[in-house]
Amino acid sequence: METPMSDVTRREFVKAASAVTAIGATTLPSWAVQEKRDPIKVGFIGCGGRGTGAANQALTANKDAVIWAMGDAFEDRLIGSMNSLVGEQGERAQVPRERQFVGFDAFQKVIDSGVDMVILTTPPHFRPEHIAAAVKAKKHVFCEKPMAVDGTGVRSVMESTALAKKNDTNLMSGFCWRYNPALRATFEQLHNGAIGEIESYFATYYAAPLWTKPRKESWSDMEWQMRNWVHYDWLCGDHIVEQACHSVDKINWAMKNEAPISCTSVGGRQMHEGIDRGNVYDHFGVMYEYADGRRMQLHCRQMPFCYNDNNDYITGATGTCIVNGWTGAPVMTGSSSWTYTGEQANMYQVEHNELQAAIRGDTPTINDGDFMAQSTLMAILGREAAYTGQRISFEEMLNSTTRLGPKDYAFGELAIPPIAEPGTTKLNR
Amino acid sequence: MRTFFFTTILLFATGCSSPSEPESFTQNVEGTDFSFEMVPVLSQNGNFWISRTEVPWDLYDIFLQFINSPDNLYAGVDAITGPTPAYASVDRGFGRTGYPAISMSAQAAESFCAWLSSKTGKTYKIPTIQQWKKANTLGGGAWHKWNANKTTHPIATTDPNTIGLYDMRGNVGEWVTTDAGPRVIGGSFRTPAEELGSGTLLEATRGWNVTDPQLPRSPWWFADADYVGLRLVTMNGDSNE
Repeated sequence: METPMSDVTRREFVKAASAVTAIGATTLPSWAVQEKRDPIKVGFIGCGGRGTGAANQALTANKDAVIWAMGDAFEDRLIGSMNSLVGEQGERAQVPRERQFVGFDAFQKVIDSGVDMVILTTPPHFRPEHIAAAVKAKKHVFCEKPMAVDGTGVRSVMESTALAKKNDTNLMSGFCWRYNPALRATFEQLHNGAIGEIESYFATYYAAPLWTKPRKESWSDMEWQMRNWVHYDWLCGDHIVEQACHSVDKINWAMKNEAPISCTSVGGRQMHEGIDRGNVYDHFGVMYEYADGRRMQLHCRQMPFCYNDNNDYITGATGTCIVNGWTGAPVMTGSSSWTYTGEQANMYQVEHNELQAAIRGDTPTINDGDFMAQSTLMAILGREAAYTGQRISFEEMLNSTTRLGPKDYAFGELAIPPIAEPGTTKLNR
Repeated sequence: MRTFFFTTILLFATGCSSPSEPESFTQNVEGTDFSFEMVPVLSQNGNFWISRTEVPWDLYDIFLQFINSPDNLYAGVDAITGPTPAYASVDRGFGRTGYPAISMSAQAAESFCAWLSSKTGKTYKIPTIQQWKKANTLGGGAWHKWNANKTTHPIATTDPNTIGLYDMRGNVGEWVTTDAGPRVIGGSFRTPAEELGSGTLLEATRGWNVTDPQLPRSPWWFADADYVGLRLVTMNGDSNE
C-alpha cells in the first residue's frame, strides 16, 4: 500500500477501464464446467449493519451458501451480527467459535480459513489492504463502497483489480446503483443519446447526519474512533467519499468512465457539534472539469432538519433527465419522453444474485475494479480540492503520496486528526 | 414560518367555540418556537383532543434532535430511546419544513409521543382507531393518488373537515392503535381517492422495509413506506386555560 505508482496517468487509467469489458465479456471461469456444486463458503469481514445486510443478501441469493468465517475488530459487533443473520437464515449463518476472528488481523484469518468468497464491509480505510489480501488469495470479493480513502489506497485497489482480472476471480463493488434495473435502463438510454450528448450533470446528496456513537469510559481513543468511524476522515474518507460517492459514481457512469482532468471544490464544517463529530466536513460543492471543457457538479451535505435531495439533474444537447435518487425512475424531457416501466428490484439483492451466478459460472466473471477505483478516486479528489482549496488535477490526485490514518493499528492513544483548512492543508501531507 | 397557519386557525377556532364546551388549545413546545393546535372531539367514552394537522417534520425533527443530542446520548439510564438517524433520506426529498413527517415505525411514533408528553406535561398518544373514526367527520379535501403527483404535500393545504381537521383522509396514512396492534389508517397520497378513509387500514409488513440495506433493519424507520405518518391525541385538554 505504501508504494507510490508515480507514473500512473489518466490515459492509462482510462485504457485499463476499457480493457475490462473485453475480458469480462469473453472469459468464463475455469471451474464453470464443474458439475458438482459444493456449498459456497462466505467469509464476512466487517460485521456492521451494512455488512450484515450484504451477508444476508449473499445467503438469500444462494441457498447453497454458508457463512464460513467472520471477522471484526470487536467481538460484540461480530456476535450481534451473527445473531441477526441466524435470525434471518438459520444454521447457515452459525459460525463456530474457532472461525470467529477478532482484531485488526481478523481479515487475514478469515481469508485463510478456506472460504470461496469474502464480503469486505469494514470502515473504508481498511478496504485496500483487505481487497489486496483477498484477491491475492484468489477469493471472490464483494467490497462495499468506497474502496479507499486516499490516493495511496486507490492505487492499491487498481493493482488488485489487475490481479483479479489475471486470476479471473470476481471483484464486485457496492456501487449498488450499477445493479439497479431502472438505472441500468436509464443510463443505457443516456449512452444511446436519448437527450443528446450530456452537457452537464448536477448530482445532489443533501442528507441528514449519520449516527454518532457516544464514547464509553473503557474505550481507548482508537476504539472510540473505530466505533464512531463515520466522523473521521482517515476511517471514512469524509461523507463525500463515504456516502456521496454513489452520486460521484453516477457522474462517472454517465461519462462512460472518462476521468476528469481536474477538480475545484468548496467545503466546510458549518455545524459545530463538538468532538463526537470528529474532523469531517458537513458540506461540499464539487466541480469536475473534463478534457473537452465540460463541467460536472456534485453538491452534498450532511446537516439535520434541512431540505433533502438525492436526485441527479442531467442536461443534454437535446433534452433533460432527472434521475430519482430513491427509486431510480427517470423523468426525461425534450428529445425523449422515455420512462422506465420495467421491474423494480432491490438493488442490494440484485448485486448478490449476480455475484453468486458469476461465482457458479452461470454468467461471466464480474470485475467492477476500474470504475469503482476511479469513482472512489474522484470522490477523494472532490474532498481534497475542498480540503486544500486548490485546483487539483486527476493525475496529481492519483499520484498523491498521502496515506491517512495511523501507520500501525493498536488500541491506545490516537489524536483526532486536525480539521482541514483550505489554503493551508496540503494534498501531500 | 413555523406557526403561521396555526395562528390563523386559532382565530377561526376561538370564534366558533362556546364557553360551555371543550375548547381547542394551542400546545407550545418548551424551548422551541413551534406550537400546534389540538381540537376537541365530543365522545361518550370521554372527550379527547386531536391535532388539527398531521405531525410535520418541524416537530418530529425537534424530537430527533433531542434523541440524538449528546445530552440524551450520554444520559445513561435516563436517556430516552428513540430513532437513530436513518440510513437513507427517509423524507424522500418530498420536502421538510411544513411537510408531514413520514416513514416512522409504530415504535418510533410511540417514542415520539413519550418524548412529547415529557416535554409538555400532557399525555400525548397516537389515536385509538375508535378516536380516529370519531374525528373523521364529513367534509375536507384530500391529497390522493390522482391529484398528489406522487409526493406528500404541506400539511393543511386542502380544506378541513367539519370539525376543522386537515388531511384526515389522504396526504399520509396515520398510525392508530387497534386491538390487533398498531395500524395505519386513512389512506395517503399513494391511495386512490375512492379508497381513502377508515376502510384503508394497513398493517406493517416486511415489504415496508425491504430495501433497508442494513441488518438488523431499522426498528425506527421504514425504507419503503413513505406514506406513513401520524397525528396526536390527548385526554388532557381541560387542563388548559
